[in-house]
Amino acid sequence: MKKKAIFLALLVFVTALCACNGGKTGKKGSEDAVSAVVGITQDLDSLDPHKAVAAGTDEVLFNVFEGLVKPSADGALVPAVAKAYTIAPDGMSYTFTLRENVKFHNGEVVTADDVIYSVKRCAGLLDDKDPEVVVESALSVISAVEKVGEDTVVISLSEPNTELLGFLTCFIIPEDYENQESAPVGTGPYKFVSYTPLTSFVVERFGDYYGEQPYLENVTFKICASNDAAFMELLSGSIDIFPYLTDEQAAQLTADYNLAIGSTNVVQAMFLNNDFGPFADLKVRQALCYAVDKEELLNIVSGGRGHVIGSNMFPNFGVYYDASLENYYTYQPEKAKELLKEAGYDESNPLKFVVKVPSNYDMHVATAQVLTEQYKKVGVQAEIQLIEWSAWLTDVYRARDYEATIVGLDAALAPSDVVKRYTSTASNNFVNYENPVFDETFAKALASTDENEKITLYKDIQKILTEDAASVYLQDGAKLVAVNKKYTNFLFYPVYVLDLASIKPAE
Amino acid sequence: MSVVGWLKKDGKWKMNRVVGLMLVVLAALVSLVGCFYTPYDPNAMDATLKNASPSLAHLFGTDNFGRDVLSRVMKGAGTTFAVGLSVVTIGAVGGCLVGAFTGYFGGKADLILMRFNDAVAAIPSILLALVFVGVFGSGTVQLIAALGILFIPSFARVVRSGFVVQKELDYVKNARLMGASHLRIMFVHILPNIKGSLLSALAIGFNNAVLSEAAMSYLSLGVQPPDASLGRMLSEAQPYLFRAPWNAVAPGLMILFSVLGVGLLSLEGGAKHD
Amino acid sequence: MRYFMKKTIALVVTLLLAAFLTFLAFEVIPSDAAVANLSIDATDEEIEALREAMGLNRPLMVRYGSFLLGALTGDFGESTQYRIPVSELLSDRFGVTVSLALLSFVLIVGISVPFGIFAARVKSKAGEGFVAFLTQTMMAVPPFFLGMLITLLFGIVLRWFTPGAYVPAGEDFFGFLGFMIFPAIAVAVPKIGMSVRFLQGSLKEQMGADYVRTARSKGCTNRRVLWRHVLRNALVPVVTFLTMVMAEILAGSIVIEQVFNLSGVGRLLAVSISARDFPVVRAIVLYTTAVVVLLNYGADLICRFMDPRIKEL
Repeated sequence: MKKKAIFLALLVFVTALCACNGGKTGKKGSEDAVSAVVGITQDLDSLDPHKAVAAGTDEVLFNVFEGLVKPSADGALVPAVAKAYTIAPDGMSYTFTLRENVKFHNGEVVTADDVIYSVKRCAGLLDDKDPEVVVESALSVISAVEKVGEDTVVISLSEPNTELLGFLTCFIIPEDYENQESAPVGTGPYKFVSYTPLTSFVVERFGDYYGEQPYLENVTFKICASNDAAFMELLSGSIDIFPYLTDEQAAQLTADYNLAIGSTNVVQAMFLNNDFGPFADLKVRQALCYAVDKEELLNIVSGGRGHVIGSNMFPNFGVYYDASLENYYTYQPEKAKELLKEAGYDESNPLKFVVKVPSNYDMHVATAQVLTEQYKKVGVQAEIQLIEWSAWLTDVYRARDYEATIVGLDAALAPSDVVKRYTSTASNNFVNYENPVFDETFAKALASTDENEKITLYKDIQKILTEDAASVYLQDGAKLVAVNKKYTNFLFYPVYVLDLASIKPAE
Repeated sequence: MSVVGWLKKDGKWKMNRVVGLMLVVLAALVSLVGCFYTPYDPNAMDATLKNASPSLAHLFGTDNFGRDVLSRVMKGAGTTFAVGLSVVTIGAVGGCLVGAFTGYFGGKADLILMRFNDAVAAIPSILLALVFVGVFGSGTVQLIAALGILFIPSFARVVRSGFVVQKELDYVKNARLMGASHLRIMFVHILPNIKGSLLSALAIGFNNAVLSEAAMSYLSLGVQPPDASLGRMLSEAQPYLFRAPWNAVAPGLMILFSVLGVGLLSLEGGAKHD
Repeated sequence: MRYFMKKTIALVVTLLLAAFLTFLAFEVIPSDAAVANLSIDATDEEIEALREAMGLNRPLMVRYGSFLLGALTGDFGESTQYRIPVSELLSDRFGVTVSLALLSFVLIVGISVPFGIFAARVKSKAGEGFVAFLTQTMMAVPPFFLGMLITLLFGIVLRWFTPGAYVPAGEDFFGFLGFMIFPAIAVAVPKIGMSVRFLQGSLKEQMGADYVRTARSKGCTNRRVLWRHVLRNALVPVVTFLTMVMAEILAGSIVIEQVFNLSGVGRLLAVSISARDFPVVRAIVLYTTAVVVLLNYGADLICRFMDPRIKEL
């Protein structure tokens, strides 16, 4: 009898546990209209903006921090902490006039010293260097950062460079503030409230912001474990904005959301190690370009969305971008076979190579699968090897121990940043590309102070890369964002940021 | 003992064995045929047939790349079963050895081996997987090795606890008095007596190995795309559960059939105590 | 007293061993925290400088030694990724994982023990077949898939819970329970299948044993045989199995935590391994080791209590 009772009790307990949820649902993420939950899929790697490496962290911190200038949605650089700037005609110095009474979130007023400290910290020019600070290599041309009067800062360079402005978006932080890592302080439209690892990053509107007050008062960046998990929350309505939809998810959006479409601003390519035996031959590299049906690729991996590119640049670079190169290598399998034959490869001696793909990027893994199938049709045997991101960084990117790899590379708002890696001496020239004509043209473009000449030179540069088939350039992917219909005016930027200050209520 | 004899007991069919054998044979057949023939090239894509629903041309539909799901299941089942069986074999043989020696002899060897056993059990599988990738590169053989090692501790514990109980029993003492060697006692006398829990452990082990293959393929160790395995197919089908559930149905059923079949076969028929 | 001394020494040895294995593992896998913490275009000098600052350049045994010294004083170092003490980072994650584990364990034991006993007594072929089919099916569903199905069905279609809406038990106990029960079910279902299967097998094995026949021939009723002797003996391997299950779920399920967006130990482990956050990884390994070992002792004690013939486990 006793045993039966125990058994019954257990049953009752279990049923009670199961019944607990009846009718009880969790709180909705957004009860009043002025707060929003944004789903992100990557944890922040540091709250100190100068130590953050992940693009996903910069994307979020953009709301909390500002530089002397900041990018705007139309691709221009607009004054932020500085109210005006001049670039010396010889490209040797930049002069910034600070905006009056810009306040940090802790109430202190931004001084020229704070600016000098911040720029020096990013350029690696401080006396006591913190090895964790990420030094922006483009800023290494800075020779001095000096104060002229209370509200003017002059940045002098050791060699002419007219494109440095795109890197002076580096965030301004207070000089004598110790807790940047745990309680970050900046000048942006939102101020930090709380952060819980693997859970959330919360900000609120900064009342003393010098610019227009944002509409959203509270924003919670919810750190989701995976894209799929985030999408489930989106379907249940607990997330208001989710910026990383896949094409498949976009098709399943409920009526509560609008779909905003922009571009990811990356060069997705199958990068070829030009030092790997077969790839040293131009004909082989060109054959690999001719053998790719980019149309089919986009149809399969992203439902036809995305923008085909033909060189190492993407359309958001505007005037610098050469769209004519998109059709340089059209899909011509016969031509590819011919070129391969000329290079000495045929059915009895097929071209074989291994393509290493970072396993955390579904898009690149899918792309690799499509490419290997397309290559099979011209008799090329490409074998996929998935590799963990950290291992990709050391083995592929640093040690250059690879044959081919598929990734997407982003860039700062300066055309030099996107092609610099192809100069023969660049430390990040992981494709081992070498062409003296390229080096020369690049040096000229970087120093050029004439905008029209600069444009022509950068177009030449793109053409050189395409003609040399330095790599197999694929696409600038589409960025699909789900935005709750309560909100509107989600802005896309030519760089990787997530701007919440611009969100407006829907009418 | 003939197959039919094994399937029957006292003139009656043993349903668990009959059904189990049928399922296992079905799974084996599908994967065997898949080695030589598939209706389509399992990796061939068709952009116009993305996530097409089942039809006469594609009995189980097509996946997100327009690949034929049936062909991929036929090909992938072979890979998955090969991995599952090899992993269980390594785990069971290793576990039986470790468990038998430690359980039977006890003492210092037991202490040391079991500490090692516990330490290995505590190493996260991702970490061990990455070690294998780091040292040997990624591939199916490395996957089998890593999982095999991870499976040893659990088998060892089960076998050991069986041995600890059994070695105190009379029949062991009798055998020893009759002059049987330790090895003989361990593997001829005791091992058959813990058959029940060992068979359960084997069936569960096969089940876990098949599931681990799914998790590990996801972590870039083991079966590399575009090649199929049941686990990889299932995890790839996840985003399309709403729109194209058939992506998950065929590999899911295949896993179910094989695991169910093995489980039924390993069941000690209830006839024993009647 | 001697027993506890012995067990404590064994625990310490296992911990040292596990920590050392983790050190070795991190020697072997490519990349390290310095590379992971700097931008992809950092120069070799910058990486070298950070390595030096983090102490990654010291010989393996020196690092192991200094870790042990720190651990002795309760200092497990600082997370290289989150830059806060490991103990602080972990303590928050434990709550999630431990509560999930306890809830799932209640489900597993509460359902599988009665069900297992019931299953062992089923004699009809159809009944046996049904039990086998049911348990095997429960086992055969991959946890991530089950989690996804549960989220879809109960979270999206029926709306019984809001995916991702975890609240700590301290804040809103029923809200917590109403959410956690679903990941707990996802964790428990395959384990229930396994332990039923295990218990059933073990029970049948015992039923066939000589002493049961003897007891029966002496006129013992079936029920008494089952409860007194068989269950007691049959539970020994099952307890072993259940402790392994408990250890496994206490270590945190990466997959379940990902599907249900729980920030527990499993997810932290996955994130830390990919960021090469060694202090966090080794702390989690130590925690897992301690859980495995201590639960095994627990199992030993229970088994000894149930079957006094077992002298040494």
